[in-house]
Amino acid sequence: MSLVIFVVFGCVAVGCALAMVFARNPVYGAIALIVCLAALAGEYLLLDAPLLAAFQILVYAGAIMVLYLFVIMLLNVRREEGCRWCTDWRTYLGFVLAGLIGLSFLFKASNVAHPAPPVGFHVYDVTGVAYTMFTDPTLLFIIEALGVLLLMSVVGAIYLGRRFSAEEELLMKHDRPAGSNSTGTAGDAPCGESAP
Amino acid sequence: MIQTMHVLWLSTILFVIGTAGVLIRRNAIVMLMSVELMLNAVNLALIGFARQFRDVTGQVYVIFIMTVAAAEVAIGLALFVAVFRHKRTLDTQKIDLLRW
Repeated sequence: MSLVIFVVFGCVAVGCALAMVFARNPVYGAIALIVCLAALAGEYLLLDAPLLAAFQILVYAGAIMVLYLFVIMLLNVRREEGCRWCTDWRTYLGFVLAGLIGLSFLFKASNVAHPAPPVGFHVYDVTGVAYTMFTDPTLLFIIEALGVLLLMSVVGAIYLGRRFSAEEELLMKHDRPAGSNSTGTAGDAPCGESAP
Repeated sequence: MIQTMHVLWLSTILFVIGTAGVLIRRNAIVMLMSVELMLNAVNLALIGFARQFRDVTGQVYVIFIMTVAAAEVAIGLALFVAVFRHKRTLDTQKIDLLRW
C-alpha cells in the first residue's frame, strides 16, 4: 500500500518537474515546481521523515518559491519567443548529457550490494533529529559555518540590491544596448514592454 | 514496502530532469529553479539512505542543504535583479559580459 502511494506521489513529482522544465511562461514553471516540492514532502512522510516534510512545505514551497514568484512578477520576465529550445541541436545534446549522468548513477547504484530494507517504521521526530544535530561535534561545526554563510548571503543580497550611484548609472547607460532608454533605478519596476 | 532502490530511481529521474533544465533552458530564473530541483533530488536520496541505515544523520544533512539552498536563492535572485537592471533581459545568451 505504501508503495502505491509512493508511486503516485512520484508520478506527480516527475510530471510537475517536466512541466517546470518545458513551461514557456516562468510563472507556470514556478507553480509546477511548488506542486512538485509538495509531492516530495509527501514522499518524505512515507520515508519516516515527518519533520523534513514540514520543513519542505514551510521553507521550500512557502518561502523560497514565493520569493521566486515575487522576482518573476517584479521583473515581468517575458515568454521565450517561439520554440527555439526544441529545434536547437544543443537541446538534444543537453538531454543526452543528462541521460548519461542518470545512467551512470543507476549503474553505480545497481552494482553495490543491497542490504535488506528495514522492517516496520522508525519515525524520527524533532527530538531525534535535534539530538543528533546538537551533539555531534562535526555537525555542530557545520551549523556554525552555515550561520556565517547565511550572514554573508544577507549582506551580499543587500549589497546587490542597493540603489546605484549616479556614476554607476552613467556607466550602465553607456554599456546598455541601444534601444532601451529607461533609466532603471531600484524604484521603478522595469516592464517587459520597454525591453527591445 | 518501499525499497531503497525505488527511492534512488525517483531521485535519479528528478536529478536528470533538473540537469536537462539547466542545460537546455535560457531563462536564468528557470535555470535556478532547475538547480533547486536537483538539490531536492539529492535530499530525497539522503532521506532514503537515512531510512535504509537507520541513521538520522542523513536527515540532519537535508536540513543543512535546505539552508544552503535558501542562501543560494537569496544571492541568485539578487544577482538576477541586478543583471536585469543592467541588461534588461534574463536570457543567458544575451548576458555575455564575461564570455569570450
